[in-house]
Amino acid sequence: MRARHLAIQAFRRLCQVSALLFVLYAAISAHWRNFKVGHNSARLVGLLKNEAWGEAYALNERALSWFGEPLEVSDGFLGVPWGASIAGLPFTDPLSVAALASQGQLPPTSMLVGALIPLGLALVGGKLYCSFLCPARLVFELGGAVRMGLQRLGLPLGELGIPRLGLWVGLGLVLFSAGMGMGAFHLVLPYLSLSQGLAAWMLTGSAGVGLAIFGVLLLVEVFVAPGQICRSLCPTGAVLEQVGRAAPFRLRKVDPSACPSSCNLCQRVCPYGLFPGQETHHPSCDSCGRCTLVCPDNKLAHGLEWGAKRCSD
Amino acid sequence: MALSRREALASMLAGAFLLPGTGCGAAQADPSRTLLPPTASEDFLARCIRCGRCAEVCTAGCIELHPPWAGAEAGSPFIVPRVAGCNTCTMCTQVCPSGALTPIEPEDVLDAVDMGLAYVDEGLCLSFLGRVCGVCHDACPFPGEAIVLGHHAQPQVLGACVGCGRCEERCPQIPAAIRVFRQDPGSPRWKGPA
Repeated sequence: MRARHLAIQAFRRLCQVSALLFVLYAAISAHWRNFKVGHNSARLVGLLKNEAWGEAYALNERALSWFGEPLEVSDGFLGVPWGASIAGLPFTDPLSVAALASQGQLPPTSMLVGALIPLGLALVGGKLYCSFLCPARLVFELGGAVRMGLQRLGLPLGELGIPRLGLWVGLGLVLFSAGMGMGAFHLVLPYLSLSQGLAAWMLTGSAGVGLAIFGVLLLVEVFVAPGQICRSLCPTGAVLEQVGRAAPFRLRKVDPSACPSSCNLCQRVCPYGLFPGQETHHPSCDSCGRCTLVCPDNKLAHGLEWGAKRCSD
Repeated sequence: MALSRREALASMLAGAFLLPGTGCGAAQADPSRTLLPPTASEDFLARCIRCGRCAEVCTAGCIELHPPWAGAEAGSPFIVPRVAGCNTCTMCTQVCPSGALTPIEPEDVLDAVDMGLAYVDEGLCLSFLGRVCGVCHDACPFPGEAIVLGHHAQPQVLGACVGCGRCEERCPQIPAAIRVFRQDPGSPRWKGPA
């Protein structure tokens, strides 16, 4: 059982790192495409920049050519998870569709199809996007590790709770974009500020303000309110949570026998401070599965379960 | 989710707290000196979802993205023709997910693209100052159709100009003697020194 939990965690890290690498790769590829169109020669790129660039150029060309004409394949990896093309498939945040619709625009079919992917994932597995794919969550979890280290050193750190306002933040942003265009989302949405900041960095070579905004959010996560940005403020997370309220794939207590009253290990390890042992972790739980590793009796596991959940709020 | 009125109001404010912060911020680039990517729709800023795919796919490397403090334009693409002009490859139009750019093929460019119009400052242009230049004509993707050279290689821009900005990028004069301006109503048009 423990091996299975560990495998899920390993798979989760793999997905998270892949999502982050995708954002970086899509932006770095812009340089590759420019070299490809302008020079189409690893040797020329090596002479123009330096050896390492030339080798990286050739490596990317070789990798892409496994899948077809390199430039065409490369054009299938674009954007940030907010509105991306991943191996040619569209992937869109439902909020971007809502913001476009709020301006009286009919979202094109490709965006609607792209939004079906995260929404479908939410209908089946709740907030799986948050725990398995969100690039910001990975960095926040690293921040959580730093926070734990600081606490071990005896630093008093904040433990602020924030009321659950994600839907209202989302509504505010959609209303804002109805009047002002879509220029505000990346100032608020953590994963968007991170990924747009990284993309701008890779494209232009200078770190964007997106990264600065995300840095502030990370400081809040580490020093002030751990887990609260994801749980209470992120509008995308809030939308996926509402869509996935009845999702059958969930983290649940597979052993119905009562836990020892003194044990709260699962609550202590939960990034949001939820209590899976008492089955009150729905609907905020994003099935990250960290609690499954610490439960001494293996009472917690991912699995399918139909019907209503006990909800904490 | 029970929410008191105060919490609801506070969060609406949180969602919109950027309104003053972003609305007053001046864009990095002077809007009258930037171009939008080809086939930008009338309501481009409303339609653009700021995913950055046009900038990533741009083969000319000319599409830049407005920084986050650029107010309503933040994250949307722009082109500064003097830095790099558009090579009309039309890739950006084909990858745009939201319809802010209309997909076209390279052979449609002359008919479908209207990013702006080039204006020649005869007081600066080398060919008008007695030298034979003609670089703008050679840089143009539609020489003979969008721009023609007259006596002493003096350039004349024709109505077919798509406003790609390659002439401005390549103009050897400093400051550029040929410059591209958007054709939006009310946008300041530069017609040479006063």
